[in-house]
Amino acid sequence: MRLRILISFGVLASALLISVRESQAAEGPPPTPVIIGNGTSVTGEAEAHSVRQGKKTSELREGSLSLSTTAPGPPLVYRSEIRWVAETQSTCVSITQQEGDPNDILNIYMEMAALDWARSTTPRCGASMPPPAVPSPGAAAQMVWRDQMKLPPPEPYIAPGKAITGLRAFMEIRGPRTVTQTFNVFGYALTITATASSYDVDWGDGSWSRGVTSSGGPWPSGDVRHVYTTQGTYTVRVLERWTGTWSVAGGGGGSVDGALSSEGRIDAFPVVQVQAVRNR
Amino acid sequence: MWRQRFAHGFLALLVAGLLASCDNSENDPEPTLPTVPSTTTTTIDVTKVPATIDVPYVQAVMNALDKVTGDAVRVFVAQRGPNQEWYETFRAVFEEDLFRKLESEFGNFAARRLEPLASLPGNPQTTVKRLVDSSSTCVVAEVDRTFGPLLREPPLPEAIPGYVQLSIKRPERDPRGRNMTGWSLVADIDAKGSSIPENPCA
Repeated sequence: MRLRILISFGVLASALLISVRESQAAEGPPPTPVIIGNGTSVTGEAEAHSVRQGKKTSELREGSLSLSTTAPGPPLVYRSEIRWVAETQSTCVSITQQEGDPNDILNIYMEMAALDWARSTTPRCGASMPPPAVPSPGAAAQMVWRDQMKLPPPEPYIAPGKAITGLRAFMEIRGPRTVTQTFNVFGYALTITATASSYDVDWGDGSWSRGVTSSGGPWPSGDVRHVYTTQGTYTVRVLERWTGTWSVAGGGGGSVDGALSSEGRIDAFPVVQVQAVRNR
Repeated sequence: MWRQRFAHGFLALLVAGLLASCDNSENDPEPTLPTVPSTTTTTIDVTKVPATIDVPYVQAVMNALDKVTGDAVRVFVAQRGPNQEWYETFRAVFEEDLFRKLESEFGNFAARRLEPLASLPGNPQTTVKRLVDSSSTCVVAEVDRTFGPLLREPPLPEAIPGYVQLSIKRPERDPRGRNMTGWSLVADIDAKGSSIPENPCA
C-alpha cells in the first residue's frame, strides 16, 4: 500500500511537500531528518520536496511521520517599524514585543527585521524598548539558511524523452550543484553556499533510487538508471538535498545544520512497449 | 494560503471594527464643503459634495483616493521607507485611527526591506456596489476592494467584499492639498464577520 502525505509548511516563501511511502523498495539508505522550518524537523520515512509559495500550517492525513518543534522561547516576537517623524523630518526605529507564534512565517519576518535593526544606529522612536540581543553570525546564518535560502530545482531528463519497457532508462540530473547567495542580516554580510549532496529519484512506478550522489548521465555510461516493466505515463520526481556552509565578512564561518531540499520533475513521462514485427 | 493570510492580515489592519460614527469632529468644528447640484455631465467633481450622493460619485471619489494612495506607496517604495510626502498623503487620505494602523504596518514593511510590497506598486482598486447610507458629511458604501496591486504576492481572492466609510476631510489633515477629494477614509472593513449599524451616517 502506498501512503501519501502532503505537508505544507511555510519557510519564508517556500514550502515543503512531503510524501511518505510505506515500505517502499528502497534502493538507497533511509532519508535523514529534514528541517523544514524554524526549529521544526521531520523524521520518519519521509521525502521532502521544496516547492515555492507555501504556508505555515501542517496537515497530516495518514502515515507514520512525526513533526517536532524545538524552537525555544516564550510566545512573544519582536516587531520593528520605521516611522517618519514630521517634526524632525527624519525616521526613527521602533522595536516592540508582542504576542505571537515564533514559528509563524509573518512573525519570523518581523523578528528578523527587529534583530536587524537592533544593530543599527538609527534613532529609536520614543516608545521603543531596549534592543533585543543580536544573534551570533552562526545563528544568523542558520536562520537565513532555513528561511531565506532559495534553491534551484534539479532538472531531470531521460533521453530521448521517453523510455522503453525492459530497457534501461538513463537519467541526467541537470542544474547547478552549487549555489552561493549573500545576505545582509542583523548587520552581518553573510555568504551562504549550498552544495547538492544527494538525490532521491522517484521513478513514478513505485520504485525509488535513494541517496544517489551522482547526477547521472546518458546512455551508455550513466549510473542513475531504471528499468520500467510496464508501459504508461509516469511522473518522475527528483529530490535534491543540499547542505550548506556560511562565511561572514571580516572572517569566520562554518557549516549550517540541517539539509534543505528542492524538487524537479518530469511530468507525463512516456514509457512505451516495443513489439517486434516479422515480415514474411 | 500564505497569500490569503497576508491579504487577511493586511485587510485586518484596515478594520476599524464597527464603522465609526461620522461625528469624528469631537473638539473640531465640523468641516463642510460647498454643495453643488447634481449634474448629468460625465465629469464628476470629487472636490465637491453633490446634493445627491450616488454610486458614480462615490466611485469617482474612491478612484481618486486609490490613485493618490498608490502614488504615495510608490513614493514609499522608491524611498525605501516613509518620508514627508508619504506621511502627508496618508494623513490626508486616511483619518487618524486608520492612519495610525497603516503607519504601523508600512513602518513594519520598511523594516522588512519592503518585502511584501511590489517593486512598482499599482493602486488599490475599489468597485462601489451600493450605498449603505450617506449624508453631506458621511458616506458608507458596500464595495469590492483589493490591495493586490500594491503587493509582491497579490492576495487571493483578488477583490474582497467589504465596506468603506468616508467622512468630510478635515482641512488640518491635508494642508498641502495632497488629497484632491473632499473626503477621507474613516473605515475600511472586510465584510466577513463585520456588522454595520442600521444608519451608520445618522
